Amino acid sequence: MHSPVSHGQGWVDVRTRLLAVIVVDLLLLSSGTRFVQVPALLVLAVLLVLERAVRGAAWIVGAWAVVMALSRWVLPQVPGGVVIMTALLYTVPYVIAAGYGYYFVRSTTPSELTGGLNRMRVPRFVIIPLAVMLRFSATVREDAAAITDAMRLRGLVSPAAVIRHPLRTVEYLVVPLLAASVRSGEDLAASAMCRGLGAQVRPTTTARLGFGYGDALLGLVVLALASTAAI
Amino acid sequence: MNFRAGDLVSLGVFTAVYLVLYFAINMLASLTPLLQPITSFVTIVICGIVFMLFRARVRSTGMVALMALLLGTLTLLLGHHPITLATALVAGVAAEIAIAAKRAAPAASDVLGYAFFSLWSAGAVLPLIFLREDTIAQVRTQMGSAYAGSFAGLMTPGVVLTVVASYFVAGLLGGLLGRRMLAKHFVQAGLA
Repeated sequence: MHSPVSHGQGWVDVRTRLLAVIVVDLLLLSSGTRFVQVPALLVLAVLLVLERAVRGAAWIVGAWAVVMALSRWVLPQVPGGVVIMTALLYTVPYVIAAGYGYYFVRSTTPSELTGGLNRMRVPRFVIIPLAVMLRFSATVREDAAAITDAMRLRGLVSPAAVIRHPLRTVEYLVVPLLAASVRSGEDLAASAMCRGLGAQVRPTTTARLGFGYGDALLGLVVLALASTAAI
Repeated sequence: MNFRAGDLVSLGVFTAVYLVLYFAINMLASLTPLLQPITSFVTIVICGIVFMLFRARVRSTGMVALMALLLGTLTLLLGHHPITLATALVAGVAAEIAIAAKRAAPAASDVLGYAFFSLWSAGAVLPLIFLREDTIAQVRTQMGSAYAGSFAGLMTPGVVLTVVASYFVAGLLGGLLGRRMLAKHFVQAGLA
């Protein structure tokens, strides 16, 4: 039921990954310089490729290249383009930060996350919601897509319906989503408690944890990124 | 800090749904940051349904504040100003206090609680009041003087306070919507 994420060559301990993502996010989104963006993007691309997410890497680098090309060559010629350009450039660090979040979500299994956070003696009320969200966000998105399709098939949801009956459309979308999520959540809670969730003892884990070459390398890379932000 | 494991799992589930809706609606505003007050308003109203079902299923003390903190921390990593942690904490605690008054008026206390809870994301706009000079200087370095000038002219403290008040009003409306959905659908389905 739970298929392990294949890590490929670039395995790094979950705690190092978490710290790296947090640090890079703060670097990108703080009021520092913009010089960190390009190196951060390249590092992200490498990390995604190591996680076998080549399409994601290509997508994000391609999107950034398009935005940069537009800003430099096309938009200054277009009247009013400066406003669009600044808006686009404004969103670039956010997209890269979201990309790092995607890398973390893609490379971490709930049991890995729980194991790592338990090792760090993080309190239970932090670990459980985070692990559940990690496991569940993909399910929620799939359910939302399926429900939207089903409603569209019945003609109940459409751009016209959103304008003419906004509350009703929201009702047709959100209520089934919540019902499905609650039912899945009950199953999830039951299965987790069968496996000892909520016991007083910190559970052992089958996840791979430990400091290795990958961690040292990632640590050096993040330090290098931090130094570029200090330029 | 003795939260039940089942409650914490429910917290994770509902926060996941909340965030999926939050991002789906706010993505529409990613083109112009100026659309943000509108999408925030809509998000808060719609997520009232999520919150009310959460409240109906999980009635332990402190879970609402924990949800606010969880949302504040996660959006911090996705770009909100660090002050969002503080506003989330304050909003969560205020919501808990409002909810604790349920003996006075059970329905109203939940709606009022959600209104306070909705202020968790006020951290995005509050720096424009308290740290005004710093924030505008930051916008100037990132976006240039012309943009910063029009930005400062638009986002006066009055406007920011109105935006925060709109979050509260949206929370009231969302709470009422949530209760109506509860009565209309979830109670019959046995989920509330």
